[in-house]
Amino acid sequence: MDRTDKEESRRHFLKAIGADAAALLLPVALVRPAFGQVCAPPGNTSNPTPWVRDCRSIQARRPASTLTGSEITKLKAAYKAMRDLATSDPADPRGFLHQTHIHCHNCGGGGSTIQVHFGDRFLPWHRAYLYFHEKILGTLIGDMNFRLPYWDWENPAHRTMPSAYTSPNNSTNPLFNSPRSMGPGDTLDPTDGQPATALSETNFADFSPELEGSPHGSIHNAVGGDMSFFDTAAKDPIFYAHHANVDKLWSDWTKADASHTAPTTAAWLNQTQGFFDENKKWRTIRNADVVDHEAKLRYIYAGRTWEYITWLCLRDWVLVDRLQVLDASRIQLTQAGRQKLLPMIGKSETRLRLISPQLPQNRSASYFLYYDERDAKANRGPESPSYLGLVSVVLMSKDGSQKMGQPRKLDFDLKGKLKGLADRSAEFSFFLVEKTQKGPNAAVSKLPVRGVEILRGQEA
Amino acid sequence: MFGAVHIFAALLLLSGERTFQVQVPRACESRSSLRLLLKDLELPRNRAVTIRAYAKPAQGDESFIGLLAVMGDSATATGNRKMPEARITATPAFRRWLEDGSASAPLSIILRPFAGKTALKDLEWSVGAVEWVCR
Ligand SMILES: [Cu+2]
Repeated sequence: MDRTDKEESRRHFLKAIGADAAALLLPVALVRPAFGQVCAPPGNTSNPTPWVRDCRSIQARRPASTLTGSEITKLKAAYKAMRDLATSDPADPRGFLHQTHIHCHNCGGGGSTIQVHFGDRFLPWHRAYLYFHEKILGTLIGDMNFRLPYWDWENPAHRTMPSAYTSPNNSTNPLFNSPRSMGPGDTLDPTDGQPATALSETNFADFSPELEGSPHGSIHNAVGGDMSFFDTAAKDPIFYAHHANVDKLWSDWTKADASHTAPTTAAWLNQTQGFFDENKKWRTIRNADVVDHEAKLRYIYAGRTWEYITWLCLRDWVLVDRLQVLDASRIQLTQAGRQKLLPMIGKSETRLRLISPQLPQNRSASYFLYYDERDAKANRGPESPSYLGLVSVVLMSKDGSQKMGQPRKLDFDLKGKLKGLADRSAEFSFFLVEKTQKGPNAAVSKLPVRGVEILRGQEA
Repeated sequence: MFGAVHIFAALLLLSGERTFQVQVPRACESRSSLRLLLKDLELPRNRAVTIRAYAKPAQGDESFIGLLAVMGDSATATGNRKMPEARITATPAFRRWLEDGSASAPLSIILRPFAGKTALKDLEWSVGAVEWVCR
């Protein structure tokens, strides 16, 4: 990307967001003294070959903390091979040092005029960077099904650095990096790595800078050392797991609502990024090529947790009524509560919120949730009048020894169901049935909760 | 569309935290997004800085508003990064705190710079003003 290209990109982004430009993080000093090491790409980049469609099988990127022993061994072998290549052939652009220089060069390092942060190419550029990096790692270990792991730092159970990156915590571990402020077992500040605010943004022009300036930046700064600086961040292998999570959050946000789209202007879609591929060929890839990571780049994100289900519902919701919780499994809608719900039937967007539900934690499974026992036993899923939604429990280790903790709340859409609920004059309970169970006598378990709320969508 | 609500001048300090006196953004309480704009933010290019913003009513405990984290260019970089405007979006928890009426008195906005969890008491930085925006 040359200077004109960069300014065009910035100008376009400002135009795209119109009057909201004032709310963005916009460092303006384009001309400034060179900093950091020389980190320009090695070899000839003047004749780029456009990226062509990838036909590998679609594989999942998984939380780094859930990798099996053999997956960790493979991950370490891949980074070892990349580090070894940097020594055996310093000119090979696939070597680890050159891989780290990609970020430096694209962040203004070594006198470069490119800066992929603070603008609308932050997300697509890093997605493409990780994609080529991942393919090179796979090639070096002869496994094109290899996918990077992600560090899901927002998960309350994963607030320390994934152990593969710190164990052993010395240079015999290819995933270790010596200048880190965050040591093994250190936990993040509670305010760092919290993506809820970003995920509640409703357009890309707000989502991207929010994700970049808050959870993304705070994790860089919390890990510290090389990760704190644009020119050195990618020297720490945790960078790639961190950015895989940033990429996953973009993916989550996109899936959360049909209106959550990437920019659709030709200028943005045709922006190109350059990278050496797994065959040392200089490739250019357009933003348009990276938007659909599943179809085009051949990876998905696995390990979606209850938190994701909650995020789907992050809008402005106003409390209408708190149901009575007689004990954890006996719920009652009062007459006064019913009077509040009746005028909302068919008129308002409504949600049912379960406070501190106690989900089964014995194994990973998906459950259908109902508020009527007969419906639960029949287990007809979304066809049942009292069906509320799907709840997935994902344990963090296969043997179940690592639990993910309980969600503080779960939200369910009450569209078309409010009347049925408002008609309940007697006590009722919530029932879980494993999705795979067949009626008419499926095994049903009651779901204890601490509170039940009905919320109404707030108009903007 | 954003509407500017309040602009206040900074107390001038050379290092450590910055405090601004800001009235409760009453008009923003029920809006879908509430942000603090930091005007003319200047940070050294050789430091990675996480700015955590807190609101403190005249009486009562402070509440965390949100944060902005800016990486450094390089450990060897010189000069400052100048940002005409940078934003800190209020977390849902802060919005609830405002809506609960916990902030009826004028609020002090306190901006504290950190490296991860470590307070940067010696950091030389500046913010020209703080402004609430909501929409
Ligand atoms: Cu980054």
